[in-house]
Amino acid sequence: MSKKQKMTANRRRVLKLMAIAGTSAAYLQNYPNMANAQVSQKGYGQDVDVNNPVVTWDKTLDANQLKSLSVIGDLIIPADDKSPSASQLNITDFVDYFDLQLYLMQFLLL
Amino acid sequence: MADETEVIVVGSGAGGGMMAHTLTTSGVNVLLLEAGRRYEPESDAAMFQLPKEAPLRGEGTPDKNDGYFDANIGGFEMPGQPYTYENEQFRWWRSRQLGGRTHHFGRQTPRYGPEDFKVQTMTGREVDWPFSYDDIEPFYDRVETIMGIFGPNADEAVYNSPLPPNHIRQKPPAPRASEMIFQKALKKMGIKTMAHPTAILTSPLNGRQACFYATNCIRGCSIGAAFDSVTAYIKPAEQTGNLNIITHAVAYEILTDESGEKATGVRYIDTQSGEKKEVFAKVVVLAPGAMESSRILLNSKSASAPNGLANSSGMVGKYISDTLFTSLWIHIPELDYAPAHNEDGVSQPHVYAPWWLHGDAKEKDGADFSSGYKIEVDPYRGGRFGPPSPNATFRIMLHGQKGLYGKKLKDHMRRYYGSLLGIRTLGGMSVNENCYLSIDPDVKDKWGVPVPRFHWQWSDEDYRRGEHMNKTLHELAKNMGANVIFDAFDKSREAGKIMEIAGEVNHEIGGCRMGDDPTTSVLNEFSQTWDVDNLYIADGAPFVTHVEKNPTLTIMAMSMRAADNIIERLKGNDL
Repeated sequence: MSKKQKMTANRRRVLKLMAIAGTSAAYLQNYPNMANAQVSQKGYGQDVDVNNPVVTWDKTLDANQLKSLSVIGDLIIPADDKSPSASQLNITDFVDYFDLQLYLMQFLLL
Repeated sequence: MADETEVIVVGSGAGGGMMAHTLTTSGVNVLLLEAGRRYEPESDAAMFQLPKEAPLRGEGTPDKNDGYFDANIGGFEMPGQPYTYENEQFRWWRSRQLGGRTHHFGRQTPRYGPEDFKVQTMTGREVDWPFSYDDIEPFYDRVETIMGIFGPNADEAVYNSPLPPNHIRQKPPAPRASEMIFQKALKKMGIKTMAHPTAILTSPLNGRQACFYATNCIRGCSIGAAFDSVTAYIKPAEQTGNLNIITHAVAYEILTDESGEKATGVRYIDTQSGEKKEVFAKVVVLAPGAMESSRILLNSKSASAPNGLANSSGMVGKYISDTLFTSLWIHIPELDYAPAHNEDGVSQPHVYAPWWLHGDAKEKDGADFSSGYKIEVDPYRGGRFGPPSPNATFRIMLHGQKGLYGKKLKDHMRRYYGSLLGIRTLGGMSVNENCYLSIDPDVKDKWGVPVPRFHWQWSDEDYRRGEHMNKTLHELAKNMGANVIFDAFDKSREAGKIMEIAGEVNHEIGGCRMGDDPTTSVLNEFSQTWDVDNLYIADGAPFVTHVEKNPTLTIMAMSMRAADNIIERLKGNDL
């Protein structure tokens, strides 16, 4: 599989993820570089130090992408009088660590 | 401590830990080989870590199948330690740590019933065990006393689902709200429910604390409330001064004398140096996990045992089985927007329905399969039981939803959080000749040891049982006033079959079954191999039938019975 094909597959998965999260896939079509994840280096392995968790791979998004993601996140999960918004919870951090070459998340498979 | 190792025990999980405990507390000198590292529940168990502390919020990955904080070191795939399958897929869950799979263990500990040991006598199908319930009952009592167990009042017992006597059991936690709805519905269906016997303390025992009802047992238990082999067996065994442990030791071959009738020791790989080493003793006990026991025997070939050790019957690796599992995700409108209520408890069902169809009732129902199944609410799925990963619950809350975002999304989540629930059935399997493992002729692990190749085929009887389970769950959902959100069975049906992937319930047993006849079984009733006088097996490999009761308690009771036999023979200089 070429690098380009991998990126396409990645992008498709992120789009699917965002669709599952309840947003409009059409909206995301405007952000074709959303998932430019690089081929990963290394997972955290099977014997992890639960008291000192470390992420063993690089984040994947640049500043502009993070900003876009933050806006989308708050459209999906806005703040109200009971609970905070996506950006207030730094959900972008979570998405930023998605390396779908490394770990195909279970919830994409449901 | 005596200088000489009397018994080598391979594996430190439920069976090996029990074996080491029984032997060392009786003054026998034991060497325990563990394939993984030392694991200290006090410091290694991630009881209180929050999802946000873990990479990817602790979500399951190929490295950590059940989430970052799961206590298991290993999983369905381990790099450099493959296995293969032909025919239907089989998945093999493994652990590499002291205490083995008992840290991740669901802690459900039902006893096998009298009929379960005599399936052939009762139904004319499969085969009988070489002992009866009365023979094993005292060992169930002793094991449960050491483990610590909660369960219903013994007087509630139904036919063929015996309970621990009241002086052993601790009081069970009260049913959760969703479980009360579950109970009410089953009562309408004429099915009795009760607390499920479970190896979690609700009162302190032997320096171990009672459960405080807040964390998920699969993360391990640092306060000793949930049973594990390190806390309940290995540490007390070490205190006797009779136990030596070698970690990072992957056993792969049994050594014998020239005759092939006496085991002399074990060959293992020191995984830290890669060296192959040998240890020697009077007795060898295999307890590395049922599938691994068959693999080691089949790989222990010699001139006197060309088809593998203890395999003159040709039965090593044969008749393996796993629990049949089906579940539904349901939505209970009655619980929509419910305020916080009694959702806490142990991370196991507080109530369940033991198998209820026997004799005439079974015949009238048309349930044409040997052992039945039990029904439970799945505490890992739905409700608000939480610090455990709520991810599955959140995913199912969005299942089939489109265009949901903003205020609507938040309202949706608030409505369904607590009103979605998993209900599940765990069924027996009709043990059949088409389920076995052999040694793959080509594939080897990273140390050059040939790996197992699994062959699997569910029987017609299993399909009938599975359909019955599924039908009952739908009926139960209806009686609970619930809508079915997701039926895992549908997915399998679309793929042209109705069973889930074998091995996924982690109840794989058999492969070295016991019996009365050396030509059709590997072990006698004391788990001693017919062919090799001083070789025993103390994991799940000796099982003859696979019923709806989780196997671990019976593994430990048989391990203790084997240990008593070894002690007696050592005393009588018979070994």
